[in-house]
Amino acid sequence: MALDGSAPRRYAEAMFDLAQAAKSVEAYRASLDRLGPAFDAATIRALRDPGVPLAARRAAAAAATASEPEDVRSLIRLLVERDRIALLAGIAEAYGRLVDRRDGTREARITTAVAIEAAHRATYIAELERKSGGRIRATFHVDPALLGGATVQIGDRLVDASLAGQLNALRVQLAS
Amino acid sequence: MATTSEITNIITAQIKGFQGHAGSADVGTVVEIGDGIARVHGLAGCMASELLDFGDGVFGLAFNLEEDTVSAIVLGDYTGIKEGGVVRTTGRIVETPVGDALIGRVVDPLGRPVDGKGPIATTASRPADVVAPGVIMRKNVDTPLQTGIKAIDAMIPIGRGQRELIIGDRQTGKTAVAIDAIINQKGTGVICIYVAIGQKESSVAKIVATLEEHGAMEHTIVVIAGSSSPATLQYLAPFSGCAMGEFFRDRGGNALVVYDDLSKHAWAYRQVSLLTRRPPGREAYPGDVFYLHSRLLERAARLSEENGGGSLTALPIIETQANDISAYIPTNVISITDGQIFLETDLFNQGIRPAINVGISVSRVGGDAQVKAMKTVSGRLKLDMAQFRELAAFAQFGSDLDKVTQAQLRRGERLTEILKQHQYGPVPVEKQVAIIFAGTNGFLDDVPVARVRDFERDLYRSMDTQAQGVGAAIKKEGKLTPEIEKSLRAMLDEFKKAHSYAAAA
Repeated sequence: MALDGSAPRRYAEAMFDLAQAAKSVEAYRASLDRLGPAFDAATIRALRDPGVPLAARRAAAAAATASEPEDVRSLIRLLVERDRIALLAGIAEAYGRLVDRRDGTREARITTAVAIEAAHRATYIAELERKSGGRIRATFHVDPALLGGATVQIGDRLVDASLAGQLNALRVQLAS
Repeated sequence: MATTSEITNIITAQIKGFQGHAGSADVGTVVEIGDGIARVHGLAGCMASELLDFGDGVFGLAFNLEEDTVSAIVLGDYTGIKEGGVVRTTGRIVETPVGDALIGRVVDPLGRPVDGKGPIATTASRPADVVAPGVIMRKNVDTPLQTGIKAIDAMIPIGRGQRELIIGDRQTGKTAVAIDAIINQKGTGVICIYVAIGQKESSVAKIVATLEEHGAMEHTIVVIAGSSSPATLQYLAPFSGCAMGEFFRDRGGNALVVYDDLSKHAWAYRQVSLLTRRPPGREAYPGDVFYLHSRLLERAARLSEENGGGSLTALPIIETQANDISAYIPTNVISITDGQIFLETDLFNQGIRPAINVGISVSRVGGDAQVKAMKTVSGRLKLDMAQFRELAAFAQFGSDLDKVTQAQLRRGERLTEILKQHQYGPVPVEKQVAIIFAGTNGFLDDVPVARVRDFERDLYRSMDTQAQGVGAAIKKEGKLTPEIEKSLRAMLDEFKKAHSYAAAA
């Protein structure tokens, strides 16, 4: 999670407005989520290289994003021109958050000690959605250090139902 | 001492009774750490001044709440905190342990003992930073807090619940005044808290040794955040010390807290404020440095009888640079407090110790609290001293002065002499009354200046042995009734007949 200040959020808000006007919020999101990781450090460095004429860089970026929606391509061009292409990943992330907020979807990070099967995952998500009263987009992670149980983080709220967490609580209680 | 099996039983019981349930907290990630400041991403539900758990027993204080991040000041060792580490909210604010078990101990601002005398057996704790008692809870200052220092008790009296600033350059005896005041509280039931902020550990060790030597640690708590402590702890120290004092105040007791010194506290606050990117103001102090000190000192209070009638007296200390009391922090604290005691290098070097400039030192509320007997004699003392100061400057130019002027100068010199006092030698109020009475009523006028202190010493000795009645009467009555005044005069006449100071020894 980068601390780029408010710039990525401003761009994301602008994109979101455009997307709503064009009624293609999800399409833009898919496009930005594709492009975010695609513009890796090496690509960004190349696109910011002052040794290459701006027109060439702009053309390269345009060629690489030929299949993307028009507004997204304009965004890329603007970012290359303003030398802010490094913000793209942050913009994609902020855009995703804006869409989630509109939909009432929340990001949940579920960490378990052992990997859980796909069937159980659905139950997990359904239960979480029931509890939190909103839609949940979950990512599953495995951390053997938890020993057992699970931790669920929704937004900044962390619910620790792991064995490691309980053992730690017991340790604190005994030590005090 | 618990045996091994007992300890095992206790642990077994705790494990059996352990209720494992899912804990829930707001979490964030450390994105930046350094200089005792952590920037934490996330923590959306964090409250201002909330205690944050960095794990491994390290805690922090939420200082700035920003759009995406929280700036926290880490209390204690921050070297174990890594970027990417998890931070949790606790729902609590910074607390410090309080209670009788702390008396006689040396602790850090979080109440952890640093004197090697084992753990502190107390379960009570109080928030370090709380709002001061309001108007309804208070009562005016009406009981004296005797410092045992003649110049202060006579001319700049301090009452219980007052805030009296001690201000002066370095090496003028500011701490000495405070330490004398602490020593003099022995046997009065006043619990003293000495808060050392940003001082050399060696100086504090010396102070603790001095207090122990004079039996004053039995009613004293020392809170130390030395110069090697993180600025965050130095910032917290006076608030913790004050919370410890409030415990005694709120249960109807009396406490005295010394903040030594608030200039360094302001520096520590300036450091954490600048590091957390709060905008700098005058002298680079943050804009709320006045409020920082005013809310701290406002907690010194005399509570009304309905609220237990307890008191917390504060003696903040400020160090000036080259007698400049118009610098930012000195003017702030002068305006917050109920008076100030000025100590001056020049007076100190002239041998006037304590080096109190009685001309510009004031106590705005202590007069009401003064013992009546002292009030009677000190009125004359103030007048005589004021006249002396006026004449002394003028008299340097010529020697052919009229009789009245010479008499006034003579009187003033002797009064100056009796206001001198040895360090760690507090004088009980009845003796103070007797010597000041002697000085202002001309009993000392024929004693050579160099022998005044011998006179004083012998008078005290005589009051302890032959003339115990007079001292006891002053102490009991608290005021100079005509009979007591008569017996005081008689005692002094008697004393002067028995002792001769005419020729300098």
